[in-house]
Amino acid sequence: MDLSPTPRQQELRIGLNAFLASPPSTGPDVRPLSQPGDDTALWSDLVAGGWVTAGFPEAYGGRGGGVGDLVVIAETLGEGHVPTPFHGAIVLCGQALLAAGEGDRLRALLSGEHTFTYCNWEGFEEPAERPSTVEATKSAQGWRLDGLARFVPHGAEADVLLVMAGVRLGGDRATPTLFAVPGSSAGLTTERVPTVGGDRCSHVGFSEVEVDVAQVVGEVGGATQWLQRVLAVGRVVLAAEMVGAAAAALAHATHWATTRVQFNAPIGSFQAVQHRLADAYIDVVTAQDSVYDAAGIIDRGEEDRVAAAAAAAKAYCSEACRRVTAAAHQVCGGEGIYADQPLHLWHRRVAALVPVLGSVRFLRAAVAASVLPD
Amino acid sequence: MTPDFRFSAEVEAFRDEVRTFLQEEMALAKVTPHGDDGDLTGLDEEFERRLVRRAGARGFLGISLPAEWGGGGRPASFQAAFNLEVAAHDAPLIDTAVTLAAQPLLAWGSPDQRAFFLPRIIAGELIIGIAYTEPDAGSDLGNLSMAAEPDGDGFVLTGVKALVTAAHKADWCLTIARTRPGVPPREGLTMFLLDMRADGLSVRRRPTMNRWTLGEIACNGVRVGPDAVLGRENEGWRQLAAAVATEGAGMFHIGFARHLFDSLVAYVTAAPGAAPLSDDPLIRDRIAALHGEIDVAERLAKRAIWMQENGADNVVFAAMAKVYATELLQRLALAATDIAGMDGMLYRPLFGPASSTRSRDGRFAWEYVERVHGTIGGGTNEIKRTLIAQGGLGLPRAPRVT
Repeated sequence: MDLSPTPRQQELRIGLNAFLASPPSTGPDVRPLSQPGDDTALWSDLVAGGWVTAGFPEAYGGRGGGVGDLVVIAETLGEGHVPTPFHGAIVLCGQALLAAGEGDRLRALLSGEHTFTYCNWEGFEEPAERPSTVEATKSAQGWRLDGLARFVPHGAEADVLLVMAGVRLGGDRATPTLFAVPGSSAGLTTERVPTVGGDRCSHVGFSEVEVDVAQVVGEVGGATQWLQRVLAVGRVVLAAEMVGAAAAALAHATHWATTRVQFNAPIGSFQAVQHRLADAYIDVVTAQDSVYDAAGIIDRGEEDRVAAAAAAAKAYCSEACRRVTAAAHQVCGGEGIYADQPLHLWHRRVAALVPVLGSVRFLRAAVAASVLPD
Repeated sequence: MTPDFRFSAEVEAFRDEVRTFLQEEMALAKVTPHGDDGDLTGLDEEFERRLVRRAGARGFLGISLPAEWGGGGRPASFQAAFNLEVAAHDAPLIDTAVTLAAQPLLAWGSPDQRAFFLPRIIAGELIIGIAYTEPDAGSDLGNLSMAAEPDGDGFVLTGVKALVTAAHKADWCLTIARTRPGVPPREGLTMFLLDMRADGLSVRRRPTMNRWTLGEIACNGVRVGPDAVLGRENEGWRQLAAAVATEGAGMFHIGFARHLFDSLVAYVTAAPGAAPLSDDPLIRDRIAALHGEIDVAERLAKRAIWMQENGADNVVFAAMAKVYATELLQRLALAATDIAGMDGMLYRPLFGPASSTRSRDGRFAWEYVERVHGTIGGGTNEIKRTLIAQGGLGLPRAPRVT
């Protein structure tokens, strides 16, 4: 048993926090979420500063480390409610390129030369929460993609979409194959979706989108080899971002409870408020440890525990972090509901992350399968 | 290395050893003749004393106490792993002597007191009760009224202690009384080691809702010598606060939880004719959630232990672990009785002839009743939440009502 973070993880947290608070960036203060594009500069700064490359091998331009490092970045971004493409663009796409042996594309991703996003990956789990809606068929040039992928993060902004499409290899089932599709491809359409988190999400349509064979990532059908594991990493990182948001909301509410005076006393001296915040504190530390434990399980290569640990962590964090931001709102009262106060950003951020890569119900079904016979 | 919550290989090896010992000692044929539902352990005193001695002889007791007193001298993880296994086997080894009495003795005992008590605790020869609470001093322990009046070189104790586990069979108890009247509530208190055979001391057994009894200890002019004082005279409050602060992370709750969870899984996967309950998506969802929560409780307890092993103040985390685990046990017992339907009404004591088997038959309802007191004893969860809010989050104290 050793629960201390590595020195690199500690440095990463301190350094990233300092960066986010430093004057050139817009900082972890209130950011209008309704204006797309206003944090693009911050994201470029983060990429240029090398802050988001921890957790990837140095050979591809990363800083080294593992999922434990990805988790630290996600937590810190969550605390600062920095709505970046980190989860999709860096973690999921980067892990997939790493697993598929696509070194050149991974270098382009980590250096910031191209921006990436993932598209339609959840359709190929066993069992899948939602079936795949994009199919690939052979064409003269190579492959042709058709279908509709919903809720693609930064789907309209990314240079490259890593699209998981079903390929019929003869059997009844479509085999998942990953394609690197330029965002500028003919036949590709995007429709912005307003979400509760205010993040940039789009539905992406594919109508006879032609890609050549060089755009197949890894091998045809090769995604089955790594998809489950990459989704597990993605879940843990999403959970970490929720934990960061919840921790920040709790800190905000604690500060409010300490300074807000009613009945001639700080409201935080009242037992009703203390006990609500004590419960929120328990939720935050237990959510955080569920993330660290799952990250450790992945980093140590305990493969038979990875899927269930990641699913359990994200299911638990989804509920615990929702409780925390709701409790923080209750403690902060009327003042907390104003848009110029940051509390709603964390509350909304958690809500926006909960359904991504699997609802609580879906994830619990996966956990149940590890405990009970099917 | 990213945080690693697994016990070390050494701890796991010790745990295996303990498990093997318990499987043998707690075999159905051995325990059945000794069932005693009037005792918290579910077993009679004869069985308990024999098992505690055998565990002591194997070197299991006081595994994390200092070697100079006969303890194992191992890190706190070893004691935690022991508690986890003992609880999972319903073994009468979660004894207050090692877990609650040894630390105050180590901290404040005189050389003679340590030399007498510690080796005997570690050998499993003593049952020691903890008698702090009084009828009018529960969460508000400062309100205690047992008097210890100076008498020659000793004291005379008069008053009543309540809710004492194992009082009827204890050899000694650790208690606290008022040595100086007319001072503020938390001053003038002194801790004592009380011989339960002393003249003027009587124990009334009072059955709890789950049949076993707690003891009420009445002291009517019990004369004790100066050697009965533990630590310093009139320093009782500070000693008591420190003693409560070093109480462990409650890993035994995790043992209870895993045991009940395994019973529940066995129940829902058994298929008496029709399809097993484990096919029901609602039951699967609930079981998956509880499984995750047991892991959460275990990580929380382990973090508290890890902090202790690394010399950090773990009072807030130990309180969190207690709150979370005891409330989880209530949710688990509720889920088990709920999922089992009419079978959830079956109620039987853990051991003895009245119980046809040690299986889950009658266990769920017993758990449902048993898990009520967890959130009350050892500091109510309300007291703990206040501690978490003030000690952990730095929230201000409430204006004290006097």
